[in-house]
Amino acid sequence: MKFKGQSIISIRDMEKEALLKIIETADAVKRGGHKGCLEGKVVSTAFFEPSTRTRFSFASATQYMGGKVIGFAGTASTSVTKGESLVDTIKTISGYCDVIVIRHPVEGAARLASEAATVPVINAGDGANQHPTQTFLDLFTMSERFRDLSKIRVGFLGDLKYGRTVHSLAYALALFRAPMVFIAPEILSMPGYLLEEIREMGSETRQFEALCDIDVSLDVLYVTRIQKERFGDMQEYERVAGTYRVTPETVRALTEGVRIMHPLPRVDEIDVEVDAMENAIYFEQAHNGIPVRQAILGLVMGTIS
Amino acid sequence: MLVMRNVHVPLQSGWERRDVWIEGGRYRRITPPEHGDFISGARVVAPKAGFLIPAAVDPHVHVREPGYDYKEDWESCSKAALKGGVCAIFDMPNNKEPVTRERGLLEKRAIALKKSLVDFGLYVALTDGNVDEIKETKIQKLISGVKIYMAETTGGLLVRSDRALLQVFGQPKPVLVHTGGAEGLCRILHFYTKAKKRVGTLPVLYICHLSTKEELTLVEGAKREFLSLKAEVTPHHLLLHRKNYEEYGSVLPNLGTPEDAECLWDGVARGTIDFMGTDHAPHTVYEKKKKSPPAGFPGIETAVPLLMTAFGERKLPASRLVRFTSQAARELFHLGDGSIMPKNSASCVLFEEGEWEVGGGYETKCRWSPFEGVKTGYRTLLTVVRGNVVYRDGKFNKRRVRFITA
Repeated sequence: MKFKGQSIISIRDMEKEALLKIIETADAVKRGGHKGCLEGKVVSTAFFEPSTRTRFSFASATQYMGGKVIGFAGTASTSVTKGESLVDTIKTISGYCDVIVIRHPVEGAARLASEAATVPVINAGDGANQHPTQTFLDLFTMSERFRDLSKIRVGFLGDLKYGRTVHSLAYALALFRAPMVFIAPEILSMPGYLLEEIREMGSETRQFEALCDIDVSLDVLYVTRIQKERFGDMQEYERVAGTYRVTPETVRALTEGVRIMHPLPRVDEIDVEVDAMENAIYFEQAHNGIPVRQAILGLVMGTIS
Repeated sequence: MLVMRNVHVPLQSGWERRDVWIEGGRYRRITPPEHGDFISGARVVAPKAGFLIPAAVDPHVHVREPGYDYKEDWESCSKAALKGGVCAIFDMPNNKEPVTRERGLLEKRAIALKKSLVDFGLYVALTDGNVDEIKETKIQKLISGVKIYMAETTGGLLVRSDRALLQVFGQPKPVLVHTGGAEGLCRILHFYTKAKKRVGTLPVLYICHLSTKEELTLVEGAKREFLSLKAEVTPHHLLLHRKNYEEYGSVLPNLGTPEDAECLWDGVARGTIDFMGTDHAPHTVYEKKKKSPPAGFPGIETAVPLLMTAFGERKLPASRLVRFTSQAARELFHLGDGSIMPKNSASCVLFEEGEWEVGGGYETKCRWSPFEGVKTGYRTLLTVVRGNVVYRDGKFNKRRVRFITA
């Protein structure tokens, strides 16, 4: 895959080779390579809904590489629900920068923007849809610990039905035919269409309702939040949330050396005492957002090839 | 391998001719016509004027069974759906015995799993007394949404309790409302606003069958405040009005004025109205000819071809049609991306363009249509669900269906 001039919209547009290229580039960047490669470039962050963490991460990634950032965040999301005005906005911004990073509350908005833009568009989240750079940094973090992505077994824990992070990452791992384990209460289990697709792609999958039922070893436990809003009955929520809470004891009961990952922010699904354990790598994971986003920016602008 | 040669597919740029390759349940390749190599053993469909779109998802259907299966049942309704290019239906709870508890849902699911030819989901009806039960996991895992009747209609399920109308927003599934008009709409918005102060994330509030300019204006205003507010319109409120339709008794909400219909079209074009819901509500011709006929029109069989014709006449983009009839509902029920792109699951309907009239050969048990005699520019050649041809030239192929819970 040629990256220069390409928009990054969905993990589904990517091939395995492209993912490996991103990982390889991010690795080089993290080791101090490609310094100053964004010199003279302008990145615009068009955030139609606020997300401080993601926006800072892109801004920081750009500035460390010598580029400049312009942008806005949190426009009242009203008039932009009409696709027409989004197209006009993007066409205009296209003339002011070398790449557009977009976040938008409406699904499909990033794809629409990429069709209107004359510069590459990077999707930083549209609705409940896609957030591909999160998936890249998850894969990169895993590849740092386990060289061969086709051999690692990841266990996904929590809200697997609605979590877009899980859906994208599971799809990406399926490109490597990596085995996966899904642990969730029945009402939050992986959607059937996705499970089927992942199996078709060649990944072995197992499903469990409780962490203690798992009878295979795990290399990574990928934890996501179980949201109160998914439950009608608060007692049921308390019960489920309690069962799926990760504590030092749950970690010790798992395979030795298992890595705990989480897309952050966390509330209380991982006990803070886990932070100090060697298994916890979620803050490193978040910090990897910088080299990964630098790699992406450099690749799509053609300053890294 | 199934190959559809030289068919029009809806892209952002408009209709474009493509060859579409389907294998193993998915779209494999979408190539400019005749660019792909011919593969022996592939089934090739090459219609003269073929138009391929993602199969529709209908969030608003009254299948009638159990209870009124002389009007319609799961087999006849799902056949009508497939013939109309619809691959998933969501069934309303106002049966003879209203579906308000677990038992009714389980009974209906069992019937549908046996008889339906399309994927399906179920709604439970809110009553003055069942909101706590609806919140429980045993019901949550069976439903795709909760239906509220704020005005009298078939089934007598009117909700009066303020507590129920507020508490229903404390559960996560979409809340669908038959408002009965602007007054009921304001009332439910009042409770939605009140609930916003108490709950972190509100469930989707889905306003069924908008029918007047007034309702559209209200929804447009409220949408500025609530991203999770969605609205539906039926094909008959878009295409029929008091001046061009008088036969066969009534429908609820009543048909509007020609001006109302024009405003609803504006709402569709601007995206204020999110979904097409057919509100397929079959009654027999005998019942409809009675002095005080029951309210409701059948519509699932004719909706998509008629709308496609109207979208063409109004020069509305193909991508809008796909959002309106399929993609928006897919997002609501978490069904995955249905657009015609490589790797996506292939559920689609192939139409032939030409000149026809609605009439005769109905699959719906009630065997009539309010659109009888209306000109249509498209007719269904075949319907594909997950890569399998399930309807072709009046013949059906029953495959395993899925029970959907949003």
